[in-house]
This record gives sequence, C-alpha cells and structure tokens, in this order.
Amino acid sequence: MRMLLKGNEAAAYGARLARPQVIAAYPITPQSPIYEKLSEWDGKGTLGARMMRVESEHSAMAACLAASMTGVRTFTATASQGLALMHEMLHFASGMRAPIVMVNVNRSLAAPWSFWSDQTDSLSQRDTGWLQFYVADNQEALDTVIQAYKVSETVLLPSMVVLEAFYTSHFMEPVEVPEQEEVDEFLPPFEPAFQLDPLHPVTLCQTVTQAQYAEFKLMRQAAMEQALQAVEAVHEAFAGQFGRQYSILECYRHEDAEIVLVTAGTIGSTARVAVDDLRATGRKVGLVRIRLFRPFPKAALMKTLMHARRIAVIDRNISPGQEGVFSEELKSALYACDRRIPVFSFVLGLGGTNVSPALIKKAIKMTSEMDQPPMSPISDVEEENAA
Amino acid sequence: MIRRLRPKLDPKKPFVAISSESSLDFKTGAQRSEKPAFINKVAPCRHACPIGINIPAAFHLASNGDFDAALQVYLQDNPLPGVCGRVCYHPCESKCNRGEYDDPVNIRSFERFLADKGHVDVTTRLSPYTGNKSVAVVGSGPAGLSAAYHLARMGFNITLFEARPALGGMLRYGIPSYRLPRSVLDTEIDRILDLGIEVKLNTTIGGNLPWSGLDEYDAVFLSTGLPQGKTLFSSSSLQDRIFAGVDFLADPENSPLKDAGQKTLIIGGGNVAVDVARTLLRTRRGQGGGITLICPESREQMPVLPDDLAEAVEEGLHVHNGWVPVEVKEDAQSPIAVGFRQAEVDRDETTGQIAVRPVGDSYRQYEADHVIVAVGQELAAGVLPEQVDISSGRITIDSFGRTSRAKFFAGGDAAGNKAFVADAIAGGKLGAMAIACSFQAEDVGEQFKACQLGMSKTFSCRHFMQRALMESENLKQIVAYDQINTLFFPPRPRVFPPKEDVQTRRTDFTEVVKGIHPAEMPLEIARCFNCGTCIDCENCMDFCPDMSILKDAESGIYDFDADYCKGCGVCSVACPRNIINMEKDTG
Repeated sequence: MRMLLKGNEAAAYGARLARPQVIAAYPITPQSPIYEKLSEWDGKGTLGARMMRVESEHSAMAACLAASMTGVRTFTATASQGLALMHEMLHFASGMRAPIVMVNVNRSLAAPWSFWSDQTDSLSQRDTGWLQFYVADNQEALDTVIQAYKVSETVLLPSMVVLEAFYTSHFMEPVEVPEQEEVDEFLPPFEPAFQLDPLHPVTLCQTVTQAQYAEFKLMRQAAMEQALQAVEAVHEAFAGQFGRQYSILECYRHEDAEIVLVTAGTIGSTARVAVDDLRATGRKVGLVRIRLFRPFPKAALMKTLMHARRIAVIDRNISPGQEGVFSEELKSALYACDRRIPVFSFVLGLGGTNVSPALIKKAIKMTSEMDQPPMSPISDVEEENAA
Repeated sequence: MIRRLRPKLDPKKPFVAISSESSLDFKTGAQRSEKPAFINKVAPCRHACPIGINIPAAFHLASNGDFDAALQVYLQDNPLPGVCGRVCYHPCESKCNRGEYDDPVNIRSFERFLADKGHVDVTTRLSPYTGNKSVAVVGSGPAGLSAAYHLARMGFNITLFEARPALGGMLRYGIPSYRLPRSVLDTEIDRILDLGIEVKLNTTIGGNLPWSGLDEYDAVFLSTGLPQGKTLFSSSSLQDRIFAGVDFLADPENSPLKDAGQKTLIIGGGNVAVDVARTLLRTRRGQGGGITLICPESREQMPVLPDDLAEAVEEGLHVHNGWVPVEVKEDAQSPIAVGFRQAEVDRDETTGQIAVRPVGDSYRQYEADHVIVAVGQELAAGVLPEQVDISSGRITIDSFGRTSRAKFFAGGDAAGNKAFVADAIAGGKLGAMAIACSFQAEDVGEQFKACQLGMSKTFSCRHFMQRALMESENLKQIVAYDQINTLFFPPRPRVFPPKEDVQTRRTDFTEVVKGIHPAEMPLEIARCFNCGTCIDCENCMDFCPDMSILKDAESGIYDFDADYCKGCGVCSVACPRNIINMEKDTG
C-alpha cells in the first residue's frame, strides 16, 4: 500500500512488519516519533511486540540484548546522545552475537547543543562490531530495516540502520508499505542459533582466557566479512520479493566518469541533481553513494572506482585531528589499487547545514581545479551564482 | 568450547562465550573486605511505646493473615491490647518512620483490631521460671493487672487485691464506656485471670485487711492509684454541691447531676474533665445547655488527648480557656458563684509541670448549681503501709519500681508514672521484672540493661524471659527513616476509623470510635515499613549479583556464602527495612 510517511514512520512500519517480539527504547529527538508510533500501535493492540519502558538507552540496549539471548527478535531506536550512552552495551551486543536491529537517526552530538543532522554519532560507534546501513530516503528506511533483520540473523551480528535528523526523519515522502504476508515470506520467524533455557542453565559472557578472547574477536571479524555476501544475497532476495533493487554501493552515471563523487546518506540523493546538471554541460562526473559502512565494502569500492581520475568525498561528519570518516575509510580501501587516485576530502553539512546541488557542484569544480588534495579536509566551499 | 576461525559460520558450534561448566571455581569471596550481617533491630514505634511492644513484628504476622500470632506478639508485653487499642495516646505513631514519608501508620487502630479479632491462650506460653514464690498485688488498675499478668506468666503465685467490687481500677471507674466498652475490659481481665490469679475483691488493705495480712507474701506490688480528686475550695458548706470528677465518673448513672435543667460548671482541662462533661451530656440525654467546662490552659495546652477534645466539641460542649478560679461565694440558698481571672499557663517541657499565671485585670463570675473539680488526683490518705516513703505525694520508687521498704514494689499513678494507661502498664511490667530478679538474686539493673530497648525506659519481655534470644536481635539500634529504602513503598493514604454519628452519641454511651472495617484493615497493615524486622521479602536474594544469600530451608535464617559474597553491599541497600548491616570482614 502506498502511503505518505515521514522517515521515522517508515522505519516504524519496517520494524512492525519484521515482527519483533521485544521492543525496548527511550525517547530522544529526532527519533522519538518512531517510539511514539510503536507505542501508539501498542496502545491499540496492533503492535504484536512487547514494549519495554526503560530508564535509559543503556538499559534499552541491555534489555534488547537479554531478550535476544532468549531467542526473540528485538528492535530499538535512538539518536545522538542516546547512542553515545548505549556505547558500552553496543560492544556487548555484537560480542554476544545478538542480531538486534536498531534505527539510529543521525543527530549532532553536544557540545554545543544541537538537533540537526550529523553522522558523527553513528560513525563514532564504528568499532563496536555493528553492521551500519546509511539510507537516503524514506522508502529505503523501511526496506532496510526489514533487510537488516535477515542479514543480522544470518551472520549473527547486530545492525544499525541510519537515518538523518529531519532530512529523512521528519520529511514526508510517498512510501510503498509492503503487505505483512509478503514480509513474512521474505523474513520468516527468527530461529536462534542458541537461546537461554532455564532447564539447561549456562553462563553467558563468562571470563575467558587471553587466547579464547582473541578467538572470539577473530570469529566476529569473520562474521563481519561474511556479512558482505549476506547483504548482497539479501538485496537479491528482496528485489525478487518486492521488486525494489538495492546494492551496497548506489552508483549513478559513474562508468565513464573522470571525477566521481563519493558520499553517504541524504547528500547522495541531492548529488544526483548536481551530477545531472554537470553532465548536461558535458562534464564527465559520476556518483557513488555508500549504503553499507560496516562491513566496509573495500573490494566493491576498488572495483567501482578503479578507472576514476579523481575522487571527491563529501562527509557530513568529522573525526577531529583527521578528516571525514568516509574519506579516510575510502583512502584506506584504495590503498591496494595499482594506481594512486587522488582523493579530495570535503567536510560539508556539519550540524545539518544545507548541502545544496550548487555546493556539490562547487566541490566538484574545486576537485578538478586543484593540483593535488590538501592535507586537511576542505570545508571552505561556497555556492557560486552561476556554474 | 572454542572453535578456530572458520570462513563460514556454523551456528551449531559455539561462537559466543558460553559455558555449561560451573562458574563456582571462581571464588569471588576472596575480593571481600566487608560482609553482610543479618540482624533485626528496634523500630522507632516500639522504642517510643512505654510498654515496648514489638509492633513491626505484629504487623508482619498480620500481613500474612495470622492475627492470632500478631496478637500473641502484643501479649508478650501488653496484657491489655483491647484497652490500649482504644484509649492509648499512641506515642508510637508520633515516631512512626512512615510519618516522614506520608502519614504515620494507624497503629492504635491496628492494636484494637488484633485484640477484637485474635484469640490467644496466654496460659500455654509460660516461662521456665519455677514458682513457689507468691506476690500480693494491691490495686487492679492497669499497673496492677500488668504486674499480676507478667508475674503469673513468669510462674509465680499471685493474689490480686481490689478495694472495689470489680477489677479494673480507673479503666472501669474512670474511663467512660463510650471510650472503653466494659465488655472489652471484661474480656481482657478474664484472659489475665486465666493465668490462675487469685482475686480478692472488696478488700482494702489497711482497712478491712491489715497490712500484716500480707506478711505471708514474698513480695508486694503497690498499684493503688490516685483515687482522691484534688480539691480547690475548702468550704464545708458547699460539700453537697461540689464534686470531684473521679467520684462522678465512678458512678454517673446514680449521680444527682442527671437533671438537664441544672447548671453544672466543670473546672479542669484534662481527660477527666472532658470525660465528666461528655458523660454528663449523655446522662442528660443530649441536653448540654447547662454544662460549661473552664480551664486555665489554652485550647492547645489542654492535657486532654486532642481527638477526645475534638469529639467533645463536635458533641457541642462549651469550653472556656484561659481562666483560673480565684474565689467561690458561699451562700447555701443561691447558686454557687465562682470568680475567675484571666490566666496563662507556662508548661515546663521537660518535667511537664505547669504554672498558672493570672494576666490582666479581667474578672468573670460563673454561677452554677453544681461544680465538678477535675484538676488532678492524689493518694488516698492513710491507706499505705508504714516505711513506704510517700513524702513527695507519690510512692517513692527507684528506676525499677523498688520502694523504700524491702519486698515492696510499686507502679502506676501512685508511684508517679505518667498518668496514662500505657505508662501504668509499663510500670507494672517493670515492677514484675524487679520482683522476679529479687527472687533469683539477680541484679535487676543488669538484667534491664541487657533487654532494654535503645535508651528507653522499657525492655523486651520476650528477651527477659528467654535470655537465649539475646543474640538474635539488636535491641539497642533504632531504625531511622533514612535507613528505610522507601522505593519499595508506594505512597498510600492512612486509613482512619469511622465514628458514631454525633446525634446518637450525645444521648447514649455507644462507643464513639469504631474499629477500622476488616476489609480496609489490610490496606493499613500493608503501609507498615516493618522497620528493623525481617519479613522474608527475599529482596536480598533477588538483588545479590552473586546469588550468595543463603537461607536455611528449615529455620529460615539468612546467611551469606563466604566463598562467593564479594561484600558489595547491594543486599544491604536492597533491604527495604534495614536488616542487613555491612561489617568489616577481616577474616
């Protein structure tokens, strides 16, 4: 059914359609409408999951983890400070191989206080062992929540589906909401690899030796690597079931491009307009939007960008003392290329400031005009009146 | 348990740290520097109770529906719970920790409920004391009944002497039946007599039986009370028109004051004065126009219990405060005219003594057909034996009820205890302990100290009778409000007992305050924090992160598992009622 939905609502629909049995969450702007929508359904008796009211995001994740250990499907949602507070439990969730799915709505982290879009909250959880999907619109939000369960339950790692404050969370778009039967067919009930059973008591997460610890971490790494194939398989199955195509990298007019713009999230959809404008003037420009950040699709990126002359990366985030995280990661991925491709790192749109087509076009222009990438990220980009 | 890194994940093999081995190899107890100690303590209500009743333990038993066992707890210290549940000034409630949270627990109504509901055979719980010692108890008011009861329970042979034709003293001849129905008193006295106490009514020692008649007894407990009303006016010509409040209360139905057309002036501001006024109202079948109560104290200073005063005012009694009588006009033919001056009263907060001070020049004269004086009582003249010091106007006793004469002990109003039923009962209980100690040649001071509740003037009878219990409870530590974990107690309003309709009670002696309805009582019982009394809530077991709280299946006694308790103290915090102390563990 086609509905006009905000991104938060689309994510909530995705969550409900996936039939989680336990939802534990704590409200925080701009994620609260997800919680509110689920609560509304809970109040009407149409949620189908047990809602747990908890006192913090840390507890929300602890509750999801414990519930997951009993073999049920779980969901939560948070943003910004809430995600930061969860940090400790994120390590536990992946270490315990719990296939929890969480929506994080990117929001700037304090200080100073702010509510707008900024990817630093989720990217600072890079090393917690969670899969991370960055979505660009509301349909993708709904679909990715459903896909994430299937991936997570295959590789037994938790997934974070990342929306952006207001650009996706609060903007309305037409969204195709699938029928429950279709989703059930695509995503059968969770069959846990193990579950807590009072009749057969075990100790979970017990103290281990140094060598055992190392083994577990390497097994998690193996699962992360396996997740790349799992995501691709799920994309394929999803297209078969629902007719909507997704891939780890959204590539747009990139085949013969000399300059390829790489970005993630909502800037990726704006960039399509800029690319079309530049193509109209004869410039060979293309776009790659990274949908999956963890595991990082190194091989796919290398293959896709191998022929580019120059690459421009726009990050709506910054790792202080380094540069934008996507840029940094991309450079690392391209290290294995035979040829050195200059990568120009732009940090734009911090704190939710607007990254317009004109701004993107200016960044691409700068990329083509500069001799070589500067050491520091480029942030002094201003729109020009006429290209 | 651990697999090598494999390219493909096999969910049938373990891939998270999971162990079906016992974690008991990790003896986390080695980390401990403190250990939990489980010990019951004294609740502030019990500490404030002159009788030292273990109130929180009774609430606990009642919360399980075992009202008989709860009443048994009361009867360990107090032989008259039905009386105290009606007339006590409930100092327990003033100190109730719940009072700092929302409202104090309605302890007095609870005591009354138990007394009315529970059944206990006190004779089945005698102490191991062996008898062959006999005690004469002189006077059967609350002090005498208490002494007789406790001594009989200790196994001694008791004879109870009473000058009047029935037992009870001021309970029967002072407190009107609208506050204390006689059936309740009779039931409680019968329960005391079930212990095998010999009763001699209509026997005045020093009157129809000489004091030498008590020589055969090993000890004598004097609880003769203060039967004589204090007089204000020495005039003999007005003898037939001026009455003592206590004399009126002893037999109101046969008093010449019943005629509603007469004007009666009552002087005094205590319970006797107010009871006289209310009794007169009832004998006059609700015609209160001629009744005036006047006293030097302000409304707030009146020594009557506030609830009783409020009920009297509800019933329409006229109270005039701030006037002290200064003269009376003697004229046998006219109404009595009493002159008053405006006055203020200074009360010494430590001794309770009052000093009346006339202020200003205001003068007022009241005329009445009769005057009833209720300004205190004194010892009856010439009824106490020689060698018993009464030079202070009361029987002189030491801290344990011993008089100046060997083998003679005393308690209650006559011995200067506070003029409340509970304090008289406490005096009888203390005297019983002193007498028992004298028989065993034990130092009563030491015995008292061992089972004293905190720094109070009372002690635990149970511990005195069963000394082996001494280690099981810390009788010196009083649980403070900030030691209660109030997170476990949702706020709940106090339940109040219903009262008889004002119009009905003006005209007859129906009991004014009713019991809390049995259906509502559990709500009030559930409000008790049970400060310092373990109620087996097992919070400590639920919250212990190491599952190291052990409970003996048979005895129900709690201990900690020394191998695994880390000494974190979570149990101590999770205990709602301050049972668990954290102590240094040097072992």
